[in-house]
Amino acid sequence: MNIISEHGFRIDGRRPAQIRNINTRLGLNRNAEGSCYLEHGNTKVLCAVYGPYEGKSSKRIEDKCAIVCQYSATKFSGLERKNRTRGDRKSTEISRLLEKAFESVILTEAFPRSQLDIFCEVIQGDGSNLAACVNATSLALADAGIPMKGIASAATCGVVDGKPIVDLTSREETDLLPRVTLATICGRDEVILVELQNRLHIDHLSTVMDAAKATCADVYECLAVVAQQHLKACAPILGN
Amino acid sequence: MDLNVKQSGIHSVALHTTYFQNRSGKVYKRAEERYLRNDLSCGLAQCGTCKDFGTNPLLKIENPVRNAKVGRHALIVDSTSLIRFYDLFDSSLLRDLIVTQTVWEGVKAKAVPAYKKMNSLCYEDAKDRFHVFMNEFHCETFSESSKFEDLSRGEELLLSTALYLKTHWQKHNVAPVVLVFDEDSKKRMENHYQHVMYLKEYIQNLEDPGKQALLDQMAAYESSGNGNEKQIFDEYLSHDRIMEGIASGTIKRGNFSVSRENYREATVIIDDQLTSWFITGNNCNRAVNGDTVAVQLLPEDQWTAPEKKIRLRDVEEYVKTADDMGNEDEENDDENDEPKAKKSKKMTVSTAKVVGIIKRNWREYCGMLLPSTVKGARRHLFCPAERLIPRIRIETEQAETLSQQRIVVAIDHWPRDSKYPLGHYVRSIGEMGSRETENEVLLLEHDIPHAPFSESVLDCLPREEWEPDLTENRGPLPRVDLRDLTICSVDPLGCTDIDDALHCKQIGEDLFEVGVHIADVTHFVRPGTAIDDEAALRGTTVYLCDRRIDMLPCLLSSNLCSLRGEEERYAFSCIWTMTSSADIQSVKYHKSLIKSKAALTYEKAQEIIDDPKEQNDVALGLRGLMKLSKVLNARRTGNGALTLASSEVRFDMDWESRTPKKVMEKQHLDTHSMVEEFMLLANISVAEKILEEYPDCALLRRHPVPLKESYKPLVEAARHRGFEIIVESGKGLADSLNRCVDKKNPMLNRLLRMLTTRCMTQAVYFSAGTVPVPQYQHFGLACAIYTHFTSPIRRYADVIVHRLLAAAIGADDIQSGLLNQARCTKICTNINYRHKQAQYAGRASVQLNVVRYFKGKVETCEGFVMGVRNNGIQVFVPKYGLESIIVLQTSAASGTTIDVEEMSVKVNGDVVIKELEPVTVRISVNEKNQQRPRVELQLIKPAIPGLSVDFDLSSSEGLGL
Repeated sequence: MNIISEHGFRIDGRRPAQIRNINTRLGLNRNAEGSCYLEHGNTKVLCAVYGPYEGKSSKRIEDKCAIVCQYSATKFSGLERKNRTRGDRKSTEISRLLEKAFESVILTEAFPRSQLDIFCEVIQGDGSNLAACVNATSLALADAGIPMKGIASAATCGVVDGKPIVDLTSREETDLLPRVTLATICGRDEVILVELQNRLHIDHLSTVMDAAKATCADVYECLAVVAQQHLKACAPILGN
Repeated sequence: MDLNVKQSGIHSVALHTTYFQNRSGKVYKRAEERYLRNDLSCGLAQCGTCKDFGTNPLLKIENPVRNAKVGRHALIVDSTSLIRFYDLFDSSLLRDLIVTQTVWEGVKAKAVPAYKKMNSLCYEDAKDRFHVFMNEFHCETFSESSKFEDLSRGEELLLSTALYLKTHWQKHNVAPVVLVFDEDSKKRMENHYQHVMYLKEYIQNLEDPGKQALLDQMAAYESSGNGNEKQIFDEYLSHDRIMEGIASGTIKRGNFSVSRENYREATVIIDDQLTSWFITGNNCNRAVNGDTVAVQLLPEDQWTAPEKKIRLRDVEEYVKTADDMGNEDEENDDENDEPKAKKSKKMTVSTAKVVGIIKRNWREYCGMLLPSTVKGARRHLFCPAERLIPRIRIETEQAETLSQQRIVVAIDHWPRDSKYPLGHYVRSIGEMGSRETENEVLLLEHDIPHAPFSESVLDCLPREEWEPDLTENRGPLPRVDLRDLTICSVDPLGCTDIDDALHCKQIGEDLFEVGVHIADVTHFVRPGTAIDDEAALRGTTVYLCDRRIDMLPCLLSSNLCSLRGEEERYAFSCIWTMTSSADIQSVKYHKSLIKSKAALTYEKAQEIIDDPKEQNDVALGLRGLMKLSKVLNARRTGNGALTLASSEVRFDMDWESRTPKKVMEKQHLDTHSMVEEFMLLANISVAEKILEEYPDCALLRRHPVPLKESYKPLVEAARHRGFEIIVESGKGLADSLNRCVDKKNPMLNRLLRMLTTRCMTQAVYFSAGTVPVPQYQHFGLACAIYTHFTSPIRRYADVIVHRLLAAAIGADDIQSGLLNQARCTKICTNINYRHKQAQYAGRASVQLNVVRYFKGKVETCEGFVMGVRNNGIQVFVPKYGLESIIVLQTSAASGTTIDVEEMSVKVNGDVVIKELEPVTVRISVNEKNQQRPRVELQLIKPAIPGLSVDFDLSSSEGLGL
């Protein structure tokens, strides 16, 4: 099966540079300061943000807020049932990546000696899981009202025969396909996270990066709409 | 909420779940989305809503060919019609065709050739006639659940497209017409939609005289199953049973190859072992040469041996003077009786039968129609130019016009009750016998891409007034200026693509600097460009007697890359310092700029070397080179390098009329081997360098060590002449061949060397790391590793080697894919194939010209008996490279017997001819058959009753002027 058909469409009917539909709900979890449920097509992620609170003394940093992230995927998120849902190498790696990315987005100096917990759970994984987590976390942080430089948005982009394809599904995330996950702030040229899987030829690097940045901007537009709508919905409570 | 980018063309999303099995058989469930779009074009040129969505080719020209049944219309074809009649769609009579996505996928999954055709028609050749409608992504035509209960899924999707397009096009007054193949589906679909037609019905209603040719092409399919119940062949086993058998080892998979001498015999080379199984007669079970087949060993009591008898289709026709070609049962005389009689217990070999076909290797075949005695008959036999392909039965009503033409025919299927495969007429190449047609046949038959270079290829060329520029560098290692060196090139007369030049300079006492400079083709041919893709496809330049098909466009091959005398050219240099005993002290490689002082011919170079008065730099350099090359040659021969012979001949052409004037006598000069030695040295040095740098993707060339058994014919032949051949090692073989000298028969040595060549397999390109290291060796040249570096203008392998070397020394970037073993292997497979085909084409071209040369001439020459068979002898005429068979005619052969064991022909008990002995033959062209004149040999001396008729084995059947 070709990833891009002779007619220029992908298996699910998208064009190479198109993202999947995004669906969201904010504020589902009343116990958390901020929460978000986000769908990128069939990739479904739940994110909750707790804090900032005093936190453990071991994690405490004098002049800024410590960010602790935990990524996990449900047993039934993938094709095959898996026994271990968190703490494996891959999950830990993604957790650390998310922490690093959001340390540079959140204005951590505003909350010295405190801790912020981010929990991301992939309910159904259909490709671009990391990107979906970044997007969900941004919205959850916005829901929690944490001060940030802007809303971060992310996208995964791969390259097939020198042509970029964006927002990959799990069918497209094959063992050989090189793919880059990139996150930027407010769709601008301000990169907060880059991750590469498989080997990418240097000639293709610039195409992939350009496509990924453009996609981040597209995703940002959608996230911005969500944030605005949520704000409008909250308007009566907030009082004008 | 479904957020997405504005104007993304996405209308809605459908969710569906599919189940699939992984390799180990476990079933998984997968939930998938499908994005339904509203930005897909209907394809109609006049449609306002779809005009921005793509190129809309349909009805751009108002149906130029009218159809009696429908008005303005576009056609929707179903997959069965496309698969079965894909050739038909080449015709420009069929216009405004819609291929739906469903049909596309169906064809792709079922039939590869049809898919290739469809792809090229829709996206390359006939973009203006075809439109692909993405019905499964279209929000109006996608349907998950079934609406029509009586229709199959495929029919339903076709119909829903038709219904949508009908309403969509209502105001343009255009109706979609559904073309189907199958009777039932037409009936079913007609209940729901009015414009459903058979493809044939549609063509019949076309108002254009050209429709007859189309109908002919279709005709072949309708005749099968005409009540002839006699089944000739066994049924194939089912796919599952074959797979089971392969898994358990009772059935083997292999490549089917028909014997060149006997069309009723074949061997199957079993894939992963080096064994081959013998197959005879009806056990071949409809396999055609080149197919991948499943074979099963017969019980041992049914094993047979090769008949050792020459059976060629044209010979049999000749002997029987059969004029009943239209008859079905003309050859079933000796089906079973004869092999048994011949069978002697000790001689049997593993005999197998074909139980299934794994992959057909059918292609389109060139050839001609055999004359039919029945006037106005519709069914004809087609005789392919390739000998190993059986006759093909086709139907046509234009036999009269086609009988004088070379035509192309494709095989469709081979039913069990038919002696011949059934096929259909594809197209005509041209008038039989004309030079262009015959060359075209030759190129097509050998699958040689020979179209003129495309625009995009020519766009990659530099300007004609290109100037070298020493400042441009592609890597850290700069180009070296070598313009002051005395470099010269030595090539055959009239050579325009000079890709190598040499120099030699004494730089110290007993120290020489020797350089080989190769045209820097990779400077111009950059990877990933159209010109590189084209060169990779062509693989090699093909030399025919009267034509050269270049791998690279003329501007490069005979100008900018050609190292012409007194012109500044880019080169890739390989420079050694060596002592006078040719011990290499050091070697360096770099790109350079050179200015050749002289472009010499072999003869001229020899003259300069031999003339003591010549004392200039060129002469001194040449003498130095000559001296060193002799040392190198002696060392190589000492290592056991073989000197082999082939039957190559070259014609001196009259370029005005492009007819052969005379056969060129090949003269061997010392300068030939001088250039050859240094090219070998350069190749070996480069091979070592790239292997060291890239041990798992260097492109190398190896010549496998032949199996001892494969020398059998050579050893036998030599034994009969009283010589012993040692086959244990290359060195032993070379030495024992040198000893085989018969004073009375000076040709004997050359003939034995020819036989040796035939015992060996060809050298092949491969990627390092794909075979065990000891197998890297080149047997013929007796060196541990070897590659091709010295002719990048005419071989693509050298281009890759240049890139590898440039990357290794830092003279160029490492380009994408260069260091990929899988890609390297892919390239190797292609160039190996192209080289083989180019060689065959070259030989065929010589044969073609031999016939042309002998037209109206008779010549008596010396020939040699190359083989003795039960019913004839094989004679080789070295002067023309002709190899023919003289068949023993049983009726006239009183007292003549042939003893295959002793390889001799006896008259009344006395041995008259033995293998490898000289005979005198008369060569002439037999023009009795106007359609197919061929070269005929007649045995003059010794005269043997019954051995007077001959048949040409070396040229293709049906080819020739």
